[in-house]
Amino acid sequence: MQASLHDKKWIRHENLVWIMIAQALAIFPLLLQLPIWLWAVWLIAIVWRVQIHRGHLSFPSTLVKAIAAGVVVTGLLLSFSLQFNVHALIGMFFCAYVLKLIEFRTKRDGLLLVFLGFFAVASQFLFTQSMVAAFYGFITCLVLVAAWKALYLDRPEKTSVKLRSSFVLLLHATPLMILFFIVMPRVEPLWSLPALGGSAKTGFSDEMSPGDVGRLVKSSGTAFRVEFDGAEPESSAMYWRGLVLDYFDGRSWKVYPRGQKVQQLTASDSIGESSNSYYRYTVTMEPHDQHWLFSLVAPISVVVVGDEVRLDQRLFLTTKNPATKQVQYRAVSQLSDSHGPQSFLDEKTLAENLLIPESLNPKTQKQVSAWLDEALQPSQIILRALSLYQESFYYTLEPPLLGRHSIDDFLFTTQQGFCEHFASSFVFMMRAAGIPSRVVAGYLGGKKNPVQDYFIVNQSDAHAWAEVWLEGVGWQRVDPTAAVSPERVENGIADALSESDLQLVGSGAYGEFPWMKSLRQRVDAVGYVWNRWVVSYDRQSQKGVLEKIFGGAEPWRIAMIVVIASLALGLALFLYFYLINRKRPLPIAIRLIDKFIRKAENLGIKRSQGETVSSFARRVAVERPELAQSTLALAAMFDRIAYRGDVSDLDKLRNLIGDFPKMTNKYFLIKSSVNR
Amino acid sequence: MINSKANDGRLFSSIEDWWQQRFFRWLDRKIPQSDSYRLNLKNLYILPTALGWVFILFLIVLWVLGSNYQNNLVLALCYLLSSLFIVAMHHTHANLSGITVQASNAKPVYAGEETFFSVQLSSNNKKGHHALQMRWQTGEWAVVDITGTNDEICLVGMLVDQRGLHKPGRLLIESVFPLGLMRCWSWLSFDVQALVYPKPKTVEEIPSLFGTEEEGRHTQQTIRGDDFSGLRSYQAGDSLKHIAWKQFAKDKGLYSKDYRQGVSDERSLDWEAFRHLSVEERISALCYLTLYFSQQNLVFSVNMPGHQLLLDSGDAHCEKVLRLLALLPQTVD
Repeated sequence: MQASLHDKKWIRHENLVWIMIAQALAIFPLLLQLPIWLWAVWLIAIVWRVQIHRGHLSFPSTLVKAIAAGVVVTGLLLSFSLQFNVHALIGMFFCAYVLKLIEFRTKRDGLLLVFLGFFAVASQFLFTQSMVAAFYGFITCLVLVAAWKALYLDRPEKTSVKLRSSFVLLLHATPLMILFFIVMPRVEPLWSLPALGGSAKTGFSDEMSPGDVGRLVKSSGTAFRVEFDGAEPESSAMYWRGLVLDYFDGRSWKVYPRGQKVQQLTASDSIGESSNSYYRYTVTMEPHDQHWLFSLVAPISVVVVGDEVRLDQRLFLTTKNPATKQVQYRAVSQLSDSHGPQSFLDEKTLAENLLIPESLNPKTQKQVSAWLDEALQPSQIILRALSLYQESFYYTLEPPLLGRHSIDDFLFTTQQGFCEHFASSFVFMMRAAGIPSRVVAGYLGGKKNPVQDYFIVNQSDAHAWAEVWLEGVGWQRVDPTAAVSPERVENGIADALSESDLQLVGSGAYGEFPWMKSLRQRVDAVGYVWNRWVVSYDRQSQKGVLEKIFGGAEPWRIAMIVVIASLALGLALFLYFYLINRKRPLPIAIRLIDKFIRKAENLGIKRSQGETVSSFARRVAVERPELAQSTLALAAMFDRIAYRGDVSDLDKLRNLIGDFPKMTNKYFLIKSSVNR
Repeated sequence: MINSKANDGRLFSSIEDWWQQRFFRWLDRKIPQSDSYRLNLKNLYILPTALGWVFILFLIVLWVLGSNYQNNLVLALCYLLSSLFIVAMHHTHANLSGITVQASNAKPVYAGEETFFSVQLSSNNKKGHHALQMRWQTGEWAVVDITGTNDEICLVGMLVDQRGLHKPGRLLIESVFPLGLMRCWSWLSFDVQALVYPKPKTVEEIPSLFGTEEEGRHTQQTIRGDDFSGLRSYQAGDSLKHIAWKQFAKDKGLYSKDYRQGVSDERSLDWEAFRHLSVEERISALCYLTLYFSQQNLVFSVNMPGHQLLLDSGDAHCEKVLRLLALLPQTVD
């Protein structure tokens, strides 16, 4: 009745060491995330336990343990300044796990430490879900399982044997794990947990001043990756709309602070497949700590699992929760250059999109009123403005500084700028001319990764453009940057900038060797696949995969298929083992004896016609007395198998015949005495 | 091989006892008595251990953590460990499956001692079988590993309090290897028994029991090497003259006649000599005397209700008497 026979028994030295190694592996990634003094706690615990083992210290009393616990808890509270976040919780867990070491003496303690080790691996994944972390976690599990299994053995075992048997266990578990991972239903969070504290992320903020986009372009890193399902638009048409900035304070553009009517977007599977202008795509967005998502105009359906997506009237997407970790979403867009109401703009929107600080930029305002005096149509004014840029403007990442009248300075003095300068000055002119307009911030283009067929949109693809409202057209995209530097739009940032500017983009990621580029693409592709199919595998992708594999995602179908598959597998295994066991022993024995006879004939003892196995064996024994023991024994075994159906010695027969001419009497006796 | 104490707290309440009885009755039909068992799907049972249930709880915690943080790697870890649980089930089963178990009679012991039945485990599995635990229904654990395709002989002991022929009940063989999450076990029934001699009880007044003075003196003579004292198994080197051909002809095996040298005294073990003691005490006292006489190499006869043995000495005689005492019914007189 007692399964846990030795639970109270003291741990063996070997197991102690293994548990400590496994613990070290499990906590190392946590130590990198937690306050540095916890290293000291761990080292003290190890030294303490080792001293206990060597007999220099005794196991701590309850009082000592309470004091130790009190000290680390106080330390943690101070370190996290009384905040109750995930880091603090993991810190608590870490201390409990590490301090358990000093009172670790029985097998039961060992089991607890192993379980806590698995938990440590899990908490490491809360910080990072990279492929490296997963691999490291697997290695940790390997050692944990080895230490775990050793607790159930009463004899020492070689390290290689330990690790190999642990590996075999995990290897056997892996196919089932993959099946579980694919088919187990995903659920919404059951309750909200303290969030992870994030670090500063790069990306757009909700306001844009001159130089902001330029800074973003210089930062390396990926903004998001996009995989199209079906048709892909031209890279020059990929205006990834992020924010609509419609409030200008003279220097920065902001999202108008008033709450706008929002519309909730959900999945709409009913969108027609046939239409050419629909694009379906999956975006895997890097964390940027903000609420917005990027999409092509105009988004029709956007789904983020576990979050709510809202569509602002100004046509930008926000989520309820900030993107503190990678976000994956599926979207359908109907590509067009214009959108929104065509005939009529409501008063409030009109007022907002015409507002400019009256006192600023007088030169620009004067220029615009000159155009208005010519009684030009709005579309003509737009062309005028764009042709202004074509005259003598210069596209650069390092524009000169601008003064108080920033737009005047840019348009009439420096004439060097980056996309936000162009967009900002253009919108200012349009508003001055009474044309409702606004700035849109986002990304333009994307580089295709040929390895996995997806687009990478980097921070260096950051872009700003303008949108004007024209009667009968709606909101029309106008990219003034295209007027000054069409290469930017057509071919991407790398072609639009001068050599010296190029060094600044994406921390010098451009202009590298071809092999380096191809290697980087491959590495990125692997990471992308990992993020797309493992880290971001959610209900939506699960549905897709299940439909692809099983032809549907209904629970009954999955259950039925899994049950049928496991029954089939079980039957196959059963038949396999059944047939192996049912393999007629006699033919095997005869084959073995034939081998023996061949070997004996090689020794020069010929079997005569019709001679029985036992008489032949006796002859062999007479001719080669040093082999007598094993020869007679194998003949007797063969007789038992052939005439009594006793198959228990089949393996021994195989071994004996395998060793045949080497197995002299001396070795035979030694071996059989070992056997007994 | 390690023998270790069975759990101290194994106290069955009557309900458990009742279930146990029912279970064993059912088992008698399911796994009937046999000389040799090959452990397989038919006679092995498997269920999670207490640790296994704790592990399941732990898996649920991990799953909730992974779901709440929508963290696929935590979920993957949870699924990996779940699969490990299932794999461990198969490994635990495979650890017992394919073993052939045989048990043989125990050597005689005295009441109050531990009797050891030798259990032979053999297997063709090259991977071996690890951390196998065995005990009789009311016995102590023995732990054994089978490495390679060698046979292991393991002594599984149990404490016996009463003299007589003792049947050990069913043999429990179980293992939780490799991860302790699953316990796989079988209850095997062997037709084996242990002869338990009475517990010897020291008798103070030995002289009064001796046979008559004259008789004693008469037989007190040295017999040199030709005093037949019994038969023993033939050993290589024994003289052909001493082989017990009669027994050999009856196909009882090869025995040597044992001839002893020594001084022998004639004594009598008399049932009536201990009238003042109860039956069991009397048997214990006679047991003591038997051992005492044999140790002194004395010749003695036996006079017990229903059994009379003539004067004799030697190990065989001693064993015969002890056996007689062991099997004496409790209600003599």
